[in-house]
Amino acid sequence: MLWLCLNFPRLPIEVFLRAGTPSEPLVVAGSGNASLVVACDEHAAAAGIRSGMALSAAYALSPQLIVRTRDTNAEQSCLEQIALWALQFTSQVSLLAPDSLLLEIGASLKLFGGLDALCKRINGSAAQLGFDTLVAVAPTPRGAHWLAGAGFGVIVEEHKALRHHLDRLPVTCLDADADTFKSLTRTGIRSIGQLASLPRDALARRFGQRLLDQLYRAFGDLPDPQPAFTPPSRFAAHLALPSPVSEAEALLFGAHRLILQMTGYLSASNAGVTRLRLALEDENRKTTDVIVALSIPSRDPKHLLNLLRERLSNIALPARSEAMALEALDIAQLAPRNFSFLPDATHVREERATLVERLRARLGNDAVHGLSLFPDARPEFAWHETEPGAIAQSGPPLLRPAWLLHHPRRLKLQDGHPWLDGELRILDGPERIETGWWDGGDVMRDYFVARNGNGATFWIYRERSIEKNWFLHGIFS
Amino acid sequence: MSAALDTLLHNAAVWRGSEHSRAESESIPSGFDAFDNVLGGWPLGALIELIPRREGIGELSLLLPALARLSKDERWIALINPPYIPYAPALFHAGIDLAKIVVIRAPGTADVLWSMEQALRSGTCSAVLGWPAAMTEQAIRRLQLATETGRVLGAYFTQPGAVPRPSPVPYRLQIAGSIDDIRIEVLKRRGGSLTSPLNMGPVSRSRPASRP
Repeated sequence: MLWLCLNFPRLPIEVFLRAGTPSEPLVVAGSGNASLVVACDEHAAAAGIRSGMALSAAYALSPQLIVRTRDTNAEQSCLEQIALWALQFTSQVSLLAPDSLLLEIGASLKLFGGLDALCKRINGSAAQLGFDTLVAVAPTPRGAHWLAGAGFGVIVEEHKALRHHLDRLPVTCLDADADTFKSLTRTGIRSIGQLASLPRDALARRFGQRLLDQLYRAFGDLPDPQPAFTPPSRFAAHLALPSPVSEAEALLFGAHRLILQMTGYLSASNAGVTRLRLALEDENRKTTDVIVALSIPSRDPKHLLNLLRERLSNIALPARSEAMALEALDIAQLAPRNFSFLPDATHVREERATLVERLRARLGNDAVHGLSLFPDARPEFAWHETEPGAIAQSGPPLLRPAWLLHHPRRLKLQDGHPWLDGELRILDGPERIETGWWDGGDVMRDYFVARNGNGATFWIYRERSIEKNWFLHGIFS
Repeated sequence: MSAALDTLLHNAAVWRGSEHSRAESESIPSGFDAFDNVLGGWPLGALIELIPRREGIGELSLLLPALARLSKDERWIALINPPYIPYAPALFHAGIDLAKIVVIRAPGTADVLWSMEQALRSGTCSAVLGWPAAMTEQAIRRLQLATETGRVLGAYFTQPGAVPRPSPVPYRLQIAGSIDDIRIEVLKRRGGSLTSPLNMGPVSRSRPASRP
């Protein structure tokens, strides 16, 4: 077993910063009366503000400071969302509140091309999500957690080497109460190494078995089972925006991060999304829903973001969005695909579906359709709009024009002959169509192919009613 | 032609001006000998401007044999903003697999051009035909780039009877005559223009296409 600990040292502030950086300095303060700065962004740090500083001191340094109260609930749910994303790298992920994740990666090394490649991939992917990370790898879960928590981003594969690294860590890594730390300091014990070199039975008597067990577990002398994070059956993630947003591009920046989380979750469950909802929440808690539907399940973040971009570009956005939530409404399993040298038909069909989705996202669902024949003798009903790609019916070979008018157009007559940019000369016909009496749309027509003096050829008919009017119905384009 | 001249012309080192466009890029047989002999078929990856002298002279039927051939492929044939209903029975009669046809209705010229660009560039279309209300030089450049990227049969129709105007489009063809006797004037092509019009003869109206 090999454990990778992902530590998020700036999580308290990143909860607010993921969707974009505000122009004013931003700090996160602890709750309570004498509030202290817990974390600060780059602008605040540049102004000289440090974490641990009193809020009043921070205000003195930067009067236009934006202060947000630390939101531990948001941090916890953020951590859970990152855990969902992390499931694409391993099936065993554990949450270590308040700011770390543990991944068992021993079984994933081969798939991802070795330890270095995997670490690089996890780091890069986490940065895209909008988080600073510190990665430590160790053969024991607690060892990895201590190393990452103390800021040592090292990769340790052997138990022997691990002991060496852990010895240098401060005792503050331990999970203990303030009294224990006080008495440790009083006895001059600062590092794990110093503590571990003391006689074990004396240690247990003085500080309790619990503390000793922590050491044993970190060194790998005691088993240390980790509760595995179980993903919920559906995906929903929430993102608070640092300042109210009205432009689509700024919204997409945040949405991109949520989409990456979702695609991580989807690849863990080998599924794709077929319908998703982005809910934009304004300052009055009113939400605007943006729904994207796909014909073929997908977990390609680029494609999903493109669809969202097109949808956002043609709806009325709320004037000031303060938060957004992404939810996968419908999920479908992706069929496993063998990699083949030549692009196969299924692959092309999946690819081409993305074009239809893109066009529909911008132009609307009805603006894109396919064509099929329909067994009806009336020309205007002999075809149907269908879903693009639907299996086409077969029909009788008939002489028909390439263009059909949406509505037949009444033709003028000159000396009793139909006229359209000149006298129409009959080339072919009549073809008698007399049907439809059963549904009220009855048709009694004689169709002709006719041409005017300019060479333009038309499909015209004469009504067989009393009026005997002439109509233009098609164009031999 | 004498035998000696024939052997000379079949020598690979001899380059003939009329072969220019054929050598340059891929193409698809048009189904008309007169056309294929001169242009080597419809070019793939080069934008084509089609100027019908008037409506109803076989300007769309001209492309149907090529579309029938392309529809054997799994990719789409996109018809963007057609002026009337592309009539399914006629397309079927011409041998086109209707399952590949996708019709796109866009409300404004900007949306038409956007849809054309998306379709041309995507690589998921074998042919893209557009009927934009207007065309700008900048739009032609963008569409040409997209046509090259998608290596697709890309063409747009101008308004019937429009006056040919110089633009960066690589192919400009004017269509005249009637559906039983189509004449094409090649106003612009890669490798120089053509002086005499091409007599294409009748198209599928009077010649039932063989079913695949």
